[in-house]
Amino acid sequence: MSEYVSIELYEKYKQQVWDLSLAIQTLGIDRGNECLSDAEIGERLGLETKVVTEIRCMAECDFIPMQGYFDAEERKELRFKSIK
Amino acid sequence: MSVEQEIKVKCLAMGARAVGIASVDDINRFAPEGHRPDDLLKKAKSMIIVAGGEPSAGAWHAGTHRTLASIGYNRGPMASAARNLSVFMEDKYRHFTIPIPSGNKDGHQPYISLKLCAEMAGLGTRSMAGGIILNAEFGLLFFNGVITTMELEPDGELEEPVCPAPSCVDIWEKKQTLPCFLSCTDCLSGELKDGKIHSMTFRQDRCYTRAQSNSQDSLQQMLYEAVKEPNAERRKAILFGSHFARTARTVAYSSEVSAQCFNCMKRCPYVLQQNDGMR
Repeated sequence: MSEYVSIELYEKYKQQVWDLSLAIQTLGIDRGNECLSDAEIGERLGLETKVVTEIRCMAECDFIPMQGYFDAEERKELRFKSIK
Repeated sequence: MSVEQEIKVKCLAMGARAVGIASVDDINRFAPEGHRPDDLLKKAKSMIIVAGGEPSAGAWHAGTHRTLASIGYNRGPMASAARNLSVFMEDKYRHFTIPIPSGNKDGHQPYISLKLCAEMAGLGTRSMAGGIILNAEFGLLFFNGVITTMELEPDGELEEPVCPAPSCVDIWEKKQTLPCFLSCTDCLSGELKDGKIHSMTFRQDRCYTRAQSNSQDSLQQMLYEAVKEPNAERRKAILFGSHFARTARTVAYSSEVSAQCFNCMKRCPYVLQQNDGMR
Protein backbone atom coordinates (compact mmCIF):
# COMPACT_ATOMS: atom_id res chain seq x y z
CA MET A 1 0.00 0.00 0.00
CA SER A 2 1.02 3.60 -0.39
CA GLU A 3 1.83 5.77 2.62
CA TYR A 4 -1.84 6.55 3.25
CA VAL A 5 -4.90 4.41 2.80
CA SER A 6 -7.23 5.47 -0.02
CA ILE A 7 -10.46 7.13 1.04
CA GLU A 8 -12.40 4.60 -1.05
CA LEU A 9 -10.87 1.69 0.86
CA TYR A 10 -11.43 3.52 4.15
CA GLU A 11 -15.10 4.20 3.40
CA LYS A 12 -15.65 0.60 2.32
CA TYR A 13 -14.21 -1.03 5.42
CA LYS A 14 -14.35 1.54 8.25
CA GLN A 15 -17.56 0.20 9.85
CA GLN A 16 -16.46 -3.44 9.73
CA VAL A 17 -13.01 -2.65 11.11
CA TRP A 18 -14.55 -0.50 13.86
CA ASP A 19 -17.03 -3.22 14.82
CA LEU A 20 -14.26 -5.79 15.17
CA SER A 21 -11.90 -3.48 17.09
CA LEU A 22 -11.61 -2.76 20.83
CA ALA A 23 -14.25 0.00 20.68
CA ILE A 24 -16.82 -2.12 22.52
CA GLN A 25 -15.41 -4.69 24.94
CA THR A 26 -17.25 -7.48 26.69
CA LEU A 27 -16.82 -10.18 29.31
CA GLY A 28 -18.95 -13.30 29.25
CA ILE A 29 -20.80 -12.35 26.05
CA ASP A 30 -20.04 -13.99 22.74
CA ARG A 31 -20.47 -11.23 20.18
CA GLY A 32 -18.66 -13.14 17.46
CA ASN A 33 -15.09 -12.64 18.63
CA GLU A 34 -14.93 -8.87 18.41
CA CYS A 35 -11.96 -7.12 20.06
CA LEU A 36 -9.57 -8.53 17.51
CA SER A 37 -6.03 -7.47 16.75
CA ASP A 38 -5.36 -5.75 13.42
CA ALA A 39 -3.84 -8.97 12.06
CA GLU A 40 -6.94 -10.93 13.06
CA ILE A 41 -9.24 -8.32 11.52
CA GLY A 42 -7.15 -8.41 8.35
CA GLU A 43 -7.49 -12.17 8.16
CA ARG A 44 -11.27 -11.89 8.65
CA LEU A 45 -11.72 -9.19 5.98
CA GLY A 46 -8.98 -10.24 3.56
CA LEU A 47 -6.91 -7.09 4.13
CA GLU A 48 -3.23 -6.53 4.92
CA THR A 49 -2.58 -5.84 8.61
CA LYS A 50 -1.08 -2.45 7.78
CA VAL A 51 -4.22 -1.45 5.86
CA VAL A 52 -6.39 -2.44 8.82
CA THR A 53 -4.19 -0.42 11.17
CA GLU A 54 -4.58 2.68 9.00
CA ILE A 55 -8.35 2.26 8.67
CA ARG A 56 -8.76 1.64 12.42
CA CYS A 57 -6.66 4.65 13.42
CA MET A 58 -8.70 6.91 11.12
CA ALA A 59 -11.96 5.41 12.37
CA GLU A 60 -10.95 6.04 15.99
CA CYS A 61 -10.92 9.75 15.22
CA ASP A 62 -13.92 9.67 12.89
CA PHE A 63 -16.31 7.62 15.05
CA ILE A 64 -15.68 9.50 18.29
CA PRO A 65 -17.03 13.00 17.69
CA MET A 66 -15.08 16.05 18.83
CA GLN A 67 -18.12 17.28 20.72
CA GLY A 68 -17.69 14.34 23.10
CA TYR A 69 -14.29 15.68 24.16
CA PHE A 70 -15.69 19.20 24.63
CA ASP A 71 -18.63 17.96 26.70
CA ALA A 72 -16.56 15.61 28.81
CA GLU A 73 -15.31 18.11 31.40
CA GLU A 74 -18.74 19.36 32.36
CA ARG A 75 -20.21 15.86 32.34
CA LYS A 76 -17.41 14.49 34.53
CA GLU A 77 -17.66 17.38 36.98
CA LEU A 78 -21.43 16.91 37.32
CA ARG A 79 -21.04 13.18 37.89
CA PHE A 80 -18.19 13.73 40.33
CA LYS A 81 -20.33 16.07 42.41
CA SER A 82 -23.32 13.70 42.31
CA ILE A 83 -21.33 10.68 43.50
CA LYS A 84 -21.23 11.11 47.25
CA MET B 1 15.39 -15.87 49.98
CA SER B 2 14.35 -17.19 46.56
CA VAL B 3 15.21 -15.31 43.38
CA GLU B 4 11.50 -14.48 42.98
CA GLN B 5 11.37 -13.01 46.50
CA GLU B 6 14.57 -11.09 45.90
CA ILE B 7 13.11 -9.51 42.76
CA LYS B 8 9.86 -8.63 44.52
CA VAL B 9 11.67 -6.99 47.44
CA LYS B 10 13.63 -4.93 44.91
CA CYS B 11 10.42 -3.86 43.13
CA LEU B 12 8.82 -2.75 46.39
CA ALA B 13 11.99 -0.79 47.22
CA MET B 14 11.66 0.90 43.81
CA GLY B 15 8.20 2.18 44.70
CA ALA B 16 5.82 -0.59 43.64
CA ARG B 17 2.88 -1.23 45.96
CA ALA B 18 2.44 -4.80 44.74
CA VAL B 19 4.39 -7.15 42.48
CA GLY B 20 3.50 -10.32 40.62
CA ILE B 21 5.17 -12.73 38.24
CA ALA B 22 3.47 -14.15 35.16
CA SER B 23 4.65 -16.84 32.79
CA VAL B 24 4.77 -15.99 29.10
CA ASP B 25 3.05 -19.31 28.34
CA ASP B 26 0.07 -18.26 30.47
CA ILE B 27 -0.19 -14.88 28.73
CA ASN B 28 0.13 -16.48 25.30
CA ARG B 29 -2.95 -18.60 25.97
CA PHE B 30 -4.99 -15.39 25.58
CA ALA B 31 -2.89 -12.71 23.83
CA PRO B 32 -3.13 -12.62 20.04
CA GLU B 33 -0.04 -13.02 17.90
CA GLY B 34 1.82 -9.73 17.60
CA HIS B 35 0.80 -8.72 21.13
CA ARG B 36 2.66 -11.42 23.07
CA PRO B 37 5.68 -10.97 25.33
CA ASP B 38 7.86 -13.08 23.05
CA ASP B 39 6.91 -10.86 20.11
CA LEU B 40 8.51 -8.01 22.05
CA LEU B 41 11.52 -9.91 23.42
CA LYS B 42 12.75 -13.05 21.69
CA LYS B 43 12.69 -16.19 23.88
CA ALA B 44 10.90 -14.36 26.70
CA LYS B 45 9.90 -16.68 29.52
CA SER B 46 8.52 -14.47 32.32
CA MET B 47 7.08 -11.09 33.10
CA ILE B 48 7.40 -9.21 36.37
CA ILE B 49 4.48 -6.82 36.80
CA VAL B 50 4.83 -3.84 39.11
CA ALA B 51 1.70 -2.13 40.37
CA GLY B 52 1.21 1.24 42.02
CA GLY B 53 0.86 4.90 41.21
CA GLU B 54 -2.74 4.87 42.42
CA PRO B 55 -4.51 8.03 43.60
CA SER B 56 -3.92 8.76 47.27
CA ALA B 57 -6.95 8.43 49.55
CA GLY B 58 -6.99 12.23 49.64
CA ALA B 59 -7.18 12.46 45.86
CA TRP B 60 -10.60 10.76 45.94
CA HIS B 61 -11.71 13.57 48.29
CA ALA B 62 -10.60 16.34 45.92
CA GLY B 63 -12.97 19.28 45.75
CA THR B 64 -13.33 19.16 41.99
CA HIS B 65 -13.16 16.45 39.40
CA ARG B 66 -10.51 18.36 37.51
CA THR B 67 -8.21 18.14 40.55
CA LEU B 68 -8.60 14.37 40.83
CA ALA B 69 -8.06 14.00 37.09
CA SER B 70 -4.89 16.04 37.31
CA ILE B 71 -3.29 14.17 40.21
CA GLY B 72 -4.91 10.74 40.01
CA TYR B 73 -2.36 9.22 37.68
CA ASN B 74 1.17 9.77 36.60
CA ARG B 75 2.80 7.58 34.01
CA GLY B 76 6.25 8.07 35.50
CA PRO B 77 6.67 6.04 38.71
CA MET B 78 5.87 2.51 37.52
CA ALA B 79 7.58 3.06 34.16
CA SER B 80 10.64 4.23 36.05
CA ALA B 81 10.53 1.22 38.39
CA ALA B 82 10.30 -1.10 35.38
CA ARG B 83 13.27 0.52 33.66
CA ASN B 84 15.37 0.28 36.82
CA LEU B 85 14.27 -3.32 37.35
CA SER B 86 15.39 -4.33 33.86
CA VAL B 87 18.86 -2.93 34.53
CA PHE B 88 18.99 -4.62 37.95
CA MET B 89 17.99 -8.00 36.50
CA GLU B 90 20.48 -7.89 33.64
CA ASP B 91 23.30 -6.87 36.00
CA LYS B 92 22.47 -9.44 38.64
CA TYR B 93 21.09 -12.44 36.74
CA ARG B 94 22.52 -11.92 33.24
CA HIS B 95 19.21 -12.53 31.48
CA PHE B 96 17.88 -10.28 28.71
CA THR B 97 15.22 -8.00 30.16
CA ILE B 98 13.20 -5.11 28.71
CA PRO B 99 10.63 -2.74 30.21
CA ILE B 100 7.17 -3.32 28.74
CA PRO B 101 6.53 -0.74 26.02
CA SER B 102 3.56 0.76 27.82
CA GLY B 103 2.34 3.34 25.33
CA ASN B 104 -0.08 2.47 22.57
CA LYS B 105 1.40 0.81 19.51
CA ASP B 106 -0.98 2.27 16.91
CA GLY B 107 -4.05 4.32 17.70
CA HIS B 108 -5.93 2.75 20.60
CA GLN B 109 -4.24 -0.65 20.46
CA PRO B 110 -1.49 -1.34 22.98
CA TYR B 111 1.70 -3.31 22.40
CA ILE B 112 0.47 -5.76 24.98
CA SER B 113 -2.49 -5.88 27.34
CA LEU B 114 -1.27 -4.78 30.77
CA LYS B 115 -4.63 -5.92 32.16
CA LEU B 116 -3.95 -9.46 30.96
CA CYS B 117 -0.38 -9.40 32.30
CA ALA B 118 -1.58 -8.16 35.72
CA GLU B 119 -4.25 -10.88 35.84
CA MET B 120 -1.78 -13.60 34.99
CA ALA B 121 0.59 -12.23 37.66
CA GLY B 122 -2.12 -12.57 40.30
CA LEU B 123 -2.41 -8.84 40.95
CA GLY B 124 -6.18 -8.68 40.61
CA THR B 125 -9.12 -9.64 38.43
CA ARG B 126 -11.34 -7.92 35.87
CA SER B 127 -14.11 -5.77 37.25
CA MET B 128 -17.53 -4.64 36.13
CA ALA B 129 -16.01 -1.18 35.69
CA GLY B 130 -14.75 -1.64 32.16
CA GLY B 131 -12.62 -4.63 33.04
CA ILE B 132 -10.33 -2.46 35.16
CA ILE B 133 -8.17 -4.83 37.21
CA LEU B 134 -9.18 -4.58 40.85
CA ASN B 135 -6.75 -5.47 43.61
CA ALA B 136 -8.33 -6.62 46.88
CA GLU B 137 -5.86 -4.68 49.01
CA PHE B 138 -5.30 -1.49 47.05
CA GLY B 139 -8.33 -1.25 44.77
CA LEU B 140 -7.29 0.65 41.65
CA LEU B 141 -3.66 0.21 40.61
CA PHE B 142 -1.67 1.10 37.52
CA PHE B 143 0.68 -1.41 35.96
CA ASN B 144 4.00 -1.65 34.24
CA GLY B 145 6.75 -4.23 34.32
CA VAL B 146 9.47 -6.09 32.52
CA ILE B 147 9.74 -8.97 30.08
CA THR B 148 12.67 -11.32 30.64
CA THR B 149 14.25 -14.46 29.23
CA MET B 150 14.64 -15.64 32.83
CA GLU B 151 12.50 -18.59 33.90
CA LEU B 152 10.74 -17.65 37.13
CA GLU B 153 8.07 -19.32 39.22
CA PRO B 154 4.83 -17.54 38.24
CA ASP B 155 2.22 -16.39 40.74
CA GLY B 156 -0.55 -17.22 38.29
CA GLU B 157 -4.16 -16.09 38.24
CA LEU B 158 -6.08 -15.49 41.46
CA GLU B 159 -8.44 -18.34 42.29
CA GLU B 160 -11.29 -16.10 43.43
CA PRO B 161 -12.43 -12.97 41.58
CA VAL B 162 -12.03 -9.66 43.44
CA CYS B 163 -15.08 -8.09 41.76
CA PRO B 164 -17.90 -8.03 42.70
CA ALA B 165 -17.35 -7.05 46.33
CA PRO B 166 -19.89 -8.58 48.76
CA SER B 167 -21.55 -5.18 49.28
CA CYS B 168 -21.99 -4.84 45.49
CA VAL B 169 -23.64 -8.26 45.34
CA ASP B 170 -26.12 -7.04 47.98
CA ILE B 171 -26.84 -3.88 45.98
CA TRP B 172 -27.30 -5.92 42.80
CA GLU B 173 -29.76 -8.28 44.46
CA LYS B 174 -31.86 -5.36 45.71
CA LYS B 175 -31.59 -2.91 42.83
CA GLN B 176 -30.05 -4.67 39.80
CA THR B 177 -27.39 -2.01 39.56
CA LEU B 178 -23.89 -1.36 40.86
CA PRO B 179 -22.03 1.70 42.19
CA CYS B 180 -19.78 1.76 39.11
CA PHE B 181 -22.79 1.58 36.76
CA LEU B 182 -24.51 4.46 38.56
CA SER B 183 -21.35 6.52 38.24
CA CYS B 184 -21.02 5.94 34.51
CA THR B 185 -24.26 4.97 32.84
CA ASP B 186 -22.89 5.62 29.34
CA CYS B 187 -19.81 3.42 29.36
CA LEU B 188 -20.78 0.46 31.55
CA SER B 189 -23.45 -2.21 31.63
CA GLY B 190 -23.74 -5.86 32.57
CA GLU B 191 -25.19 -8.41 34.90
CA LEU B 192 -24.26 -10.37 38.02
CA LYS B 193 -25.51 -13.89 38.50
CA ASP B 194 -25.10 -15.99 41.64
CA GLY B 195 -22.80 -13.36 43.10
CA LYS B 196 -20.37 -13.40 40.18
CA ILE B 197 -19.84 -11.45 36.95
CA HIS B 198 -22.13 -12.97 34.33
CA SER B 199 -21.60 -10.37 31.63
CA MET B 200 -20.06 -6.93 31.23
CA THR B 201 -19.99 -4.49 28.35
CA PHE B 202 -17.55 -1.60 28.26
CA ARG B 203 -17.96 1.18 25.70
CA GLN B 204 -14.34 2.16 25.25
CA ASP B 205 -15.41 4.52 22.49
CA ARG B 206 -17.42 6.54 25.03
CA CYS B 207 -14.92 6.22 27.86
CA TYR B 208 -12.20 7.61 25.59
CA THR B 209 -13.61 11.12 25.53
CA ARG B 210 -13.66 11.20 29.35
CA ALA B 211 -10.58 9.22 30.29
CA GLN B 212 -8.52 11.01 27.63
CA SER B 213 -10.38 14.29 27.20
CA ASN B 214 -7.22 16.24 26.42
CA SER B 215 -5.04 13.66 24.84
CA GLN B 216 -3.78 12.63 21.43
CA ASP B 217 -7.15 12.10 19.71
CA SER B 218 -8.42 15.42 20.95
CA LEU B 219 -5.30 17.12 19.56
CA GLN B 220 -5.69 15.39 16.19
CA GLN B 221 -9.36 16.32 15.92
CA MET B 222 -8.85 19.95 16.87
CA LEU B 223 -5.99 20.31 14.42
CA TYR B 224 -8.23 18.86 11.72
CA GLU B 225 -11.00 21.30 12.66
CA ALA B 226 -8.54 24.19 12.47
CA VAL B 227 -7.10 23.12 9.13
CA LYS B 228 -10.59 22.81 7.63
CA GLU B 229 -11.77 26.13 9.06
CA PRO B 230 -11.70 28.83 6.33
CA ASN B 231 -12.25 31.73 8.74
CA ALA B 232 -8.99 32.97 10.28
CA GLU B 233 -10.64 34.38 13.41
CA ARG B 234 -12.45 31.11 14.08
CA ARG B 235 -9.19 29.21 13.47
CA LYS B 236 -7.57 31.40 16.08
CA ALA B 237 -10.38 30.67 18.54
CA ILE B 238 -9.87 26.91 18.04
CA LEU B 239 -6.10 26.95 18.43
CA PHE B 240 -5.79 29.58 21.17
CA GLY B 241 -8.81 28.40 23.17
CA SER B 242 -8.64 26.66 26.54
CA HIS B 243 -9.34 23.13 25.28
CA PHE B 244 -6.55 23.19 22.73
CA ALA B 245 -4.22 24.90 25.21
CA ARG B 246 -4.78 22.18 27.80
CA THR B 247 -4.47 19.46 25.17
CA ALA B 248 -1.20 20.89 23.84
CA ARG B 249 0.18 21.10 27.39
CA THR B 250 -0.97 17.55 28.12
CA VAL B 251 0.85 16.21 25.09
CA ALA B 252 3.93 18.38 25.59
CA TYR B 253 4.44 17.47 29.24
CA SER B 254 2.99 13.94 29.24
CA SER B 255 0.73 15.07 32.04
CA GLU B 256 -2.98 14.26 32.29
CA VAL B 257 -2.47 12.07 29.23
CA SER B 258 -4.80 9.31 30.33
CA ALA B 259 -6.94 8.31 33.30
CA GLN B 260 -8.71 11.69 33.35
CA CYS B 261 -12.05 10.41 34.60
CA PHE B 262 -12.04 8.03 37.61
CA ASN B 263 -15.80 8.38 38.21
CA CYS B 264 -16.51 4.64 37.81
CA MET B 265 -14.01 3.90 40.58
CA LYS B 266 -15.07 6.58 43.02
CA ARG B 267 -17.68 4.44 44.86
CA CYS B 268 -15.97 1.09 44.39
CA PRO B 269 -15.79 -0.65 47.79
CA TYR B 270 -12.13 -1.51 47.20
CA VAL B 271 -11.36 2.17 46.71
CA LEU B 272 -13.54 3.27 49.61
CA GLN B 273 -11.69 0.93 51.97
CA GLN B 274 -8.63 3.13 51.49
CA ASN B 275 -10.46 5.68 53.65
CA ASP B 276 -10.36 3.42 56.72
CA GLY B 277 -8.69 5.26 59.60
CA MET B 278 -8.12 8.42 57.52
CA ARG B 279 -8.92 11.84 58.97
